[in-house]
Amino acid sequence: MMTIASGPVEVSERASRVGDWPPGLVIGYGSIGRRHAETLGRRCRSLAIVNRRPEVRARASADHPHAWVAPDLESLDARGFPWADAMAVIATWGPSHAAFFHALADRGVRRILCEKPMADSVAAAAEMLERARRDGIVLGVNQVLRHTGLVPALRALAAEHGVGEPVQVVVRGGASCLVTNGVHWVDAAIQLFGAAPERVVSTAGGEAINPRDATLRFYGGTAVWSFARGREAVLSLSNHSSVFPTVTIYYRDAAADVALVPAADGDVAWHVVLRRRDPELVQRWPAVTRTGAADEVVHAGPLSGTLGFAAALAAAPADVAGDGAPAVSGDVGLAAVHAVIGALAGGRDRIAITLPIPLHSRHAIEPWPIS
Amino acid sequence: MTPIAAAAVVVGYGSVGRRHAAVASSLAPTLAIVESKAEARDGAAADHPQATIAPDLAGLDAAGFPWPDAVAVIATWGPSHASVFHALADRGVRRILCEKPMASSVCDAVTMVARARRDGIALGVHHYVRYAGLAPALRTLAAEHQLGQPVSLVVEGGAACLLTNGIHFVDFASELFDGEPERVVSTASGDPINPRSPDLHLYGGTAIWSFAEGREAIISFSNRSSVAPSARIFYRDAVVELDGALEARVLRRDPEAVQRFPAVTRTGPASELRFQGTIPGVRGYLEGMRRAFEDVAGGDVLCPGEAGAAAVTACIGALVASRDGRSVTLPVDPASAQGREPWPIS
Repeated sequence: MMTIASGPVEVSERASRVGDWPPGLVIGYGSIGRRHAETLGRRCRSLAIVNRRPEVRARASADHPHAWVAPDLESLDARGFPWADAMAVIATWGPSHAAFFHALADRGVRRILCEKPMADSVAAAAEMLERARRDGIVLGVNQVLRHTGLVPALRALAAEHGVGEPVQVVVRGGASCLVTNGVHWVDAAIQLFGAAPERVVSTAGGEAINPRDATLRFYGGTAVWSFARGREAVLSLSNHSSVFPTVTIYYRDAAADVALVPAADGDVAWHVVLRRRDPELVQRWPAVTRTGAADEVVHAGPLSGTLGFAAALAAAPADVAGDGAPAVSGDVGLAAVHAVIGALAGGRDRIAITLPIPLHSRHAIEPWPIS
Repeated sequence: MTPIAAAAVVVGYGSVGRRHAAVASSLAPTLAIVESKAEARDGAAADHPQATIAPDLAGLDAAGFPWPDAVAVIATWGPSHASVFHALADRGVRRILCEKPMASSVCDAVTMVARARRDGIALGVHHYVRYAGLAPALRTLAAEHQLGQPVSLVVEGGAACLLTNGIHFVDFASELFDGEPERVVSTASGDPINPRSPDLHLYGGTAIWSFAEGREAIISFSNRSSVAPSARIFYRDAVVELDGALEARVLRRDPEAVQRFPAVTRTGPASELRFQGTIPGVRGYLEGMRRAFEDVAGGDVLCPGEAGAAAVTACIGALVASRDGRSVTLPVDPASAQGREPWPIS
């Protein structure tokens, strides 16, 4: 069983410790890359942006007039980019993450933040992690829910109200993709349960409706990850519905409905309704099979101690800018890749997949068109 | 009382059998109750002083019970349903309402259906969500609010058992999607915590039934939680939430936002409340039970043996899928090893 660190990510503290950041590089200038460039543009001594599309580069130049904007890494070589001093953010699509990571490592970059999913195969993600360890590279993975501090805050709320340990996570809704967005919730379940899943069954099926690119797939269906002691994470995301997913975390006699809601500052913020069963009824009929409605609301409102999505995204690069080990490390990214690729393989092959996937198996080597 | 049958016999006097007996006593002038446990027979005799109470069917033979004129209700535990059914059929009963699950193996369920056809038996199965009329009522409501067709059903909560309560929603999914599931994968696992008997298991975990056109029914019941189940039915741009009492909330996305960004991948919250309350046409549990008895008595069965067998097949497929770690293609062949295998289900 793979064990994953589950402590809170103290993003604000980490960011404030960093001070002036080294020269920054953002590879990929899509919707997420733009946000990383904004952060690095503010915090780094200099900024370079790499994007292969001319029209995107033109936009990058307009947004960041002082940045070096280039079509590829070789162009930055020619301009004498200070690789060894730099921090880099890989914000391209999943299938190119590993190649960019190694290209950066070859150039001597030792601080790298990689967008999720960390890689498009288990083997590629494992190789990235292995090389990061071997070459002393600080490798962080932007599984942004961790940076929001959701799980530690939920744990604190559960402790405050004495509802015990979570036993089940259910995410259901429309076409959000079991990988693109699902990877965040799998990671949240891993953090919530304090360990990686042991098995996955799934009906995951990819369709050519990924808004990012026609070569990428958008995975609908349902996946169930089994954790130790009978706990489960269920993600059911139908490619036939446009309803934004909602989340419920179940406890012995309570449930927490977790949602992102618009915040006053234009960001989105976590909102939680924690409801429990009537304690008198539970005491009178204590058997778990005597189910009852959890309709006594003990908390309804913002989740204190959490960051909104934009704030967390802005804080993510700080994870690799400082001297310490990243809080959301390559190990965290690798565990999530095992989990989601296990679900894709299970859905296609119609079998239960034992996790983690053995590193030299066909399921580990096979690349997937994921974002 | 307006009798709709000359006689009624209720086999099994547990919590559900008691309710059937109350319904039957209001619809048939002659009532018999068969129950193997002495203390339960005492309860039956106290509740129904005019009824004939017997420990087994043979006890009613001796009392000259008018079998061919009777409506029978099988309300024992799942593993005995098939044998009680055949014993009733052997005695000439031609109107039988069977509690769910119809049988404890696919083969038994299919054999019951075949005999019902051969012998002209009106065989109904008491799936209460079907008798509540939820699917047609929901269809009307969805049409009224222009929700389109349902695309997925998600039922979730605590230790309600994928069989004991899940089977009602499997049957509901078949009604909702107007077809039977094609495949199932599952993490179902039985624990010896079934309050009915230590011989029966209570199945927790998650099962995913795949229907045509990419539609799915998911039931996720954790044996580690006591939170009552709830359900969600997803549409293209809306969701219907159901609580344990089948009270509904219809929530849809802002139509302007949908029109502006029509791609299905541009998801948005379904936060516009369009309906809240009891869906018109949905019956309560006891009203549905009465309807089931009346249907079988009249020979026009809303939930026939075929539907019962399909639900048993879907549920047993989920148990097999989890144990074997693979997807199970449905229907399970009743003559196969999986089809013949009995399960300790209630």
